[in-house]
Amino acid sequence: MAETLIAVIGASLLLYLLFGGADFGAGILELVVGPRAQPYVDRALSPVWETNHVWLILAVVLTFVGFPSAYVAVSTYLHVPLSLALLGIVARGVAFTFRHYDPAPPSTRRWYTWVFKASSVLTPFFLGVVFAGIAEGQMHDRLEEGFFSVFVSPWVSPLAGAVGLFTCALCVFLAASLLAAERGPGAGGQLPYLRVARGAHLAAISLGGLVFAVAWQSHVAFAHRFVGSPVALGCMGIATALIPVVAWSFGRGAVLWLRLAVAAQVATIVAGFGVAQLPVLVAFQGGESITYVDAAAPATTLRLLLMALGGGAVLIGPGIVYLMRVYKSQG
Amino acid sequence: MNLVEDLFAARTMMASTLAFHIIFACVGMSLPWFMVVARWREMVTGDPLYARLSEAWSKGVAIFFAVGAVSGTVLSFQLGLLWPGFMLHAGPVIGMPFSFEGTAFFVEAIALGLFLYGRERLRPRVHLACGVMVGVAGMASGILVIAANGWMNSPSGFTVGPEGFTDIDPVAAMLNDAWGVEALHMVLAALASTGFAAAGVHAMRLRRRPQLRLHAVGMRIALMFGVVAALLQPLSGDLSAKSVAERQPLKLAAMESHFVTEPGAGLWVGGIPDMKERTVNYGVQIPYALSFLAYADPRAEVRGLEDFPEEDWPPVLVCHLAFQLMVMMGMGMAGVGVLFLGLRWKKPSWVEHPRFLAVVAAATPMGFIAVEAGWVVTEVGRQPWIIYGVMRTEEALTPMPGLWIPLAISLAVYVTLSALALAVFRRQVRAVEEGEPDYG
Repeated sequence: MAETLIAVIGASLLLYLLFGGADFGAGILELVVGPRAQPYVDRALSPVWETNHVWLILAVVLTFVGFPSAYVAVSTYLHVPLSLALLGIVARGVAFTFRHYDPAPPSTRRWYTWVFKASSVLTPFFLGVVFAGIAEGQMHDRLEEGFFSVFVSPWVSPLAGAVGLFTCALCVFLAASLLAAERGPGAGGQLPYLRVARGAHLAAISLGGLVFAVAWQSHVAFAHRFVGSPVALGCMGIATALIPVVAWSFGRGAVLWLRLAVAAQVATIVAGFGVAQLPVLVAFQGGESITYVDAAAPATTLRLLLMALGGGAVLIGPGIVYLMRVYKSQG
Repeated sequence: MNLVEDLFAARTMMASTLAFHIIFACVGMSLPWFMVVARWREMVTGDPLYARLSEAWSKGVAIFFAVGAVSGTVLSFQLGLLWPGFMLHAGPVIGMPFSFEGTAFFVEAIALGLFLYGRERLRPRVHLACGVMVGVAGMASGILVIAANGWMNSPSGFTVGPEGFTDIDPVAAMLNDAWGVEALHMVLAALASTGFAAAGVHAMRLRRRPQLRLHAVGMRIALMFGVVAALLQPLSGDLSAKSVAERQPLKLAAMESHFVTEPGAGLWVGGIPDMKERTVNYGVQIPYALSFLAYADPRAEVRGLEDFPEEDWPPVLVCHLAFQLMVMMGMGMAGVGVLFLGLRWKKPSWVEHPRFLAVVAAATPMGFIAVEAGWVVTEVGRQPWIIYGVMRTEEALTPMPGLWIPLAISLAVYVTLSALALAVFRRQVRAVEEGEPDYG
């Protein structure tokens, strides 16, 4: 049962990365491309953005119910980057809502846009930092060593920086692929943001390489398990093999293929990461760790939780499909 | 270097997030129903005025939902950031309602998306049904979250042993003794506070621009919700009082500043507790009323604070004042409610009389003041426990030092956000008015 729950948490993190990531990326894209991207961004985000953060909340709730000690370790020792990511989520959500609904004078709207763009970088960066902190294994509970050693050094590392940047690049790439469909019917040919998307794709690939190199260099156990796992390597192989597909569909304007390929790439990256990380949920200094077996809540809780999830999925699944259909039916 | 003690900083931070979030939660539970009624009236009468009203309210729902979703995200993290000791044990026990709440929230988001973007694209009945779903899901989320708070006040569904919490039964935890009364009280409070706030805003604008029918109609619908809820609330309050008397006699004693155990206890109206002399100054006491309210028997014995060790007392002054404030605001709303129903019955045209509009406008914040005060009673009244009788709040605190820094940041964020939200709200109202045909 714990395994099923892990899979659900992984899936919900993946969906958050895909949808929420595209949201963040749209903000970064606006930062890069400038104000002419704004109408596209507003149009692409407005119907679904309210639902996107739910994936993160779902993952958080499932973790604290199903694997409480892992949730507690992360929120205790990565308090600072988590708080910074939260600050970004608040600022971003509010700025986007107000930009959308507030009939404000231009000066105020420029302010909203500025906050929206800045927090679109801040949030995924620090979420990436948090994930690096979880995997890197620099956390410890020797409180007597002081604030800096316990609450800062576990996440201030080259690896954390690299993962943060990698997450941002991935978000931009996702957003460019999503917005590509917003060129309007009959335009044909090349998609907008081709250059940005290419740049982001290239950046994501090279930063992904950098993440791995840094992890290897700093002897992170995770990196070694990754190389030792055929499944993880296979995942990475698929992601790499999809690079030309992405480039091709971008060039040809094949939106459906593009989205499928991009989603598959992100999914394999997440799956590869997951396979290499498990059974460890949170790594500590000196090779100690919390595995999902250690952290799992009692069986009663897990069983009820999975039942609740099943019931929820029956309600939510058709709802999302219906919403998408109604929204796209505008012609 | 600690400007304030960490425990105090964490409690204040949690309180400020909740105080902020609860406004959005109340609106999210109630305003969808107003928008549904307006949509339904539109379908029945064919009057485009109702269409515009429903649309204006649905924009309000969207803004409040979005900001509420953000502060809700903050809460789901902040529980762990501030109270890891609590989450470590409470997560598996009381996670059930949280995961149901996630589903309800998701359904609400989807239904709201359909309502906002489906006005032109869906058949009217389907569109209305989506609106109803927004309301149902919004109410459900609120009620489910209350289950978790009920459990903190009336823990059940586990055994405490040397190995932590064992024999975990999430269903029994969810169906704790406090849930029912708390949820009822909260639902009515949400409807009353949002009803009075919305009616008050419409009344204020109607005084300025009496020709705008939108405000007149909006005020009537909102006030009807608010008044019915405000008149039912004393009954629910009575149930709550009896439940608290049974489960948390110490909380009742603190709310009432009831120091001495005695039969036939009196009820203080107003007054300031004197902790040294263990008495209440400047208050008026109604004889036998407390015994009657708590046990439906004027001679019943009510346990006083003196019966309990002083280290288990909640902050008496805060509880007492908050409770008095909540009751006062509730009485005020019920009074306005009686007046409104009386006018509607005997003098319908006076409902839009400037004097009555002034009364309604003055009542705008009453519901929300009562909601905040009521939560202070519940939460401060539970102190020093985070799980009543099981875990003290200080045991749950994070080891992270210097919490005054995040406290300062989050207070600054909430103050800024509140000011911004108010400004956005004013501009929205202005924009809606300017779109009205009878704006002139």
